[in-house]
Amino acid sequence: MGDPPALELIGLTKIFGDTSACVDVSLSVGRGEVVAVVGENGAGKSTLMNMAYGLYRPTRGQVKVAGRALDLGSPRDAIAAGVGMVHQHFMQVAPLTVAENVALGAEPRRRGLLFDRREAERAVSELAARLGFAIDPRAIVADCSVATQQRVEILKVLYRGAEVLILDEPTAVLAPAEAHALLDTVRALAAEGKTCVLVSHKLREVLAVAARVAVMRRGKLVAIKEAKETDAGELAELMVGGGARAAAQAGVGAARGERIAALRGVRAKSDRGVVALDGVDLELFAGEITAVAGVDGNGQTELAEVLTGLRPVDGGALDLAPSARAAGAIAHVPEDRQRRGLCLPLTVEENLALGRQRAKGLVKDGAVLRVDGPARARLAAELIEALDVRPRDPHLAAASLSGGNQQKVIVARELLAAPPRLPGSAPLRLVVAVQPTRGLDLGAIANVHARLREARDAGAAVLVVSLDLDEIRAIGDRIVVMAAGKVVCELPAGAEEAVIGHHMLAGEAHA
Amino acid sequence: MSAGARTLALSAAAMLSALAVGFVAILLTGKDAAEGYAGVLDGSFGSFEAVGETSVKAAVLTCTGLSVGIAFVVGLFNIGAEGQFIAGALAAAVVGRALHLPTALHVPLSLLAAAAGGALPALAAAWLKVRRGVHEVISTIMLNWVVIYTVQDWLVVGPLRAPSSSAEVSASGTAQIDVTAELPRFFEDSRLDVGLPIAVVLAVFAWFLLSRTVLGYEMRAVGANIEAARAAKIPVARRLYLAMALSGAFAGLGGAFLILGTEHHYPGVFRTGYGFDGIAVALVGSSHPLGVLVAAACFGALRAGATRLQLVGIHPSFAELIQGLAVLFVATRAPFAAVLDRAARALERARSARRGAAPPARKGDA
Repeated sequence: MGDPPALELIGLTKIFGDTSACVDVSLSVGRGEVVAVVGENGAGKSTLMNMAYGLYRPTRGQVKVAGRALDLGSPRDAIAAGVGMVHQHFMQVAPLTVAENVALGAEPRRRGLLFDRREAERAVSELAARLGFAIDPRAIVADCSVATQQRVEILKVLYRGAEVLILDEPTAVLAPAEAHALLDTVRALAAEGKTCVLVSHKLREVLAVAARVAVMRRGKLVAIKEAKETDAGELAELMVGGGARAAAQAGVGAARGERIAALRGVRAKSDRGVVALDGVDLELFAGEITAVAGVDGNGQTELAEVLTGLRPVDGGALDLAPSARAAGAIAHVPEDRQRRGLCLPLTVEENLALGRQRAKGLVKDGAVLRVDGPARARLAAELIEALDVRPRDPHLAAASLSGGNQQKVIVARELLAAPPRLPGSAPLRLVVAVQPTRGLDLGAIANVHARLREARDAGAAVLVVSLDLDEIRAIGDRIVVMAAGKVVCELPAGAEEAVIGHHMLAGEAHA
Repeated sequence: MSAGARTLALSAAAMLSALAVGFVAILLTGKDAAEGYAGVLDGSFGSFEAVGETSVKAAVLTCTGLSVGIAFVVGLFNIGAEGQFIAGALAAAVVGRALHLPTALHVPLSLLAAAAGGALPALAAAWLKVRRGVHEVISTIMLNWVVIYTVQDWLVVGPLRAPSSSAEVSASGTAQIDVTAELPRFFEDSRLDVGLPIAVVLAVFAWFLLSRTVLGYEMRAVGANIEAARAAKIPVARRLYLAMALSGAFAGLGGAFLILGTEHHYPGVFRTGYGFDGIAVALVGSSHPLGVLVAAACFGALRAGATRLQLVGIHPSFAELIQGLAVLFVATRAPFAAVLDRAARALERARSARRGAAPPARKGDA
């Protein structure tokens, strides 16, 4: 090999305070190569990538792009050298058009002063055509689907002349068909000679697209495997370090019990005022997990909100069993954890009591209802232990936890802060979990699934909405598919992915 | 280092820095800053009388500081403390004059009237927020002027003006309150009255409410994330009303302290700025009731001692400068926080090295 590698990370180490997030990681990626970086939450993937992109300044080590050492800790230099990062959370100006977003900060000018909109639109069209994106440069970003918004992010990076693309959990927000399309895009980019580094949890996707897979565990690079010579099982074992992995149990739960909720012709509008539920018929039973599949935005979010009482019903009937109407009988793992699930400035302990603050086990009676501090601390310690929330300090602000650990806090509270752990609260009758494992690592996913099954076995009706068909198939005692605001079909446990996918697209006017 | 200690240290650092910068600023004008500061100290704590003066001002500032602080807790920025302060002051003056009761009843009733008077405009702002989505900054600023003009340009010079034929001392403003409505003083030669102990009780009450009761927890949750609070079935609107009612009541009590303790009637000219200073007190006290108490003591002393600056030829507005700087330094706390955290870490390391123990893990995730 005469050419220097496109991206070379040499002995990168990053120490935060007293914790080593990344220790002596070296990785080199050739031109046109696709390399995946996998690892559990907190393994150091994001830290490593943020150092490569210059967002973090390494404690030790060096980053070279095409043989040139970068100014460490300078995204500006990284961008100039042709490194681009597609973030998990999009950084876009919603009311602007696709072209305006792509050009933002690097606008083509007319007479040195005016924004040349036409030139920007032309350049974006050309780029999009090269990658096979059907995308209108004049579309307003706020109106675009999540998948399209992600394409805007990719276009932004390419527009700035990136040769090395870092994609952070790119498929986490996508439906299966969209994820496939994204992987095609990655292949197309590699064929063009671009270098791609893919950070992901999803081993099957990684194996489908990457030439090599780098596995990280606890801040260290533990292995680099040729994709052809490994499989998901081996990678998973490397990631968790040979620890026990919960086997995926196909769900055959306790016998179906009392009917907890019945929806007949339920209609509701979305936040934007358009019809989101267009006559949903669905029954939920105690002792059963109902998994809801569907392409994102087909009414699943609104279904969950209607069931938890957060969204008014515009038509039809929603009947809840009397036992499910008691305070605290419904658990809700919301889709948007930071918006609905947590009070980020409050501590982990306080967040673990949110919604349960008036439960008998957490208060001291008197002239005014007082917080029972020791009881709350005990509950928090138990929940932190049960779901392995890290770090373990209950007095940290929830904002200082990583996304995965924030999700664990919500799951722990919603599913476990109930009897017998929390005496005096109503038993759980209905659990509504939307994307409960988004952003979690394998161990945590198995833990959350086990907790959902526990809730089912304790007699709750469980509804799980997920965009991940693996999850749908792993957890559902039965599977219902939503499309265009309706339940379009009901399938037995473990139905074939292809069958589910077929029904998901049934009602869709494909964009 | 606990979050509370950290906040306290940051506020103290901001206050000390403000004093230091103020010192330099006075030097730059060619005056004797040391003598000026000594004068402020003497004027605020130097004598029995001075301490009384400071305590009166600190009591009022505690009230307005708590007012702004408790609204911050639910995420509302109450700029209307000034108007609520004036509404409360007038209510106290009216009840102090209109009723004739023994002190044990007259003072509490006048204070209650002031709390209700202050709560009224605050609740109007809360109602506009909850029902109409009007931003509370806009509504409270506007309501300030509604209250100020209604009270000072109409009521006090019109219907409530003291009859000029009466033998009372005041030439303008409302009539004198009954002696039974005056705040009892502890000593002959000091203005220290029951206002200060009441203010301390109010601060402790606010602390207890916020940190020990379920109601306070719910208020903090509303302030931290209103959507999550709603999802957790907390009655968000009712918590907002409660916080604003308390906020207005605190400000109104501040006004009552000044009327019942010092002025003994609502004067014709009564623009104190205590309501606006409440914002500074709340910021420097980081909205913590006990922090507010300390900040109010600092600013109260500054106000009480400011007149002494003039004796050495320093313009008294330097006291306001120092107060402004303290707020500025609290608002731009990042540099202070960085230094503080580094020091705390070094200390922690030194301590754990001495014990030979492993340093505690701080960051769990990448």
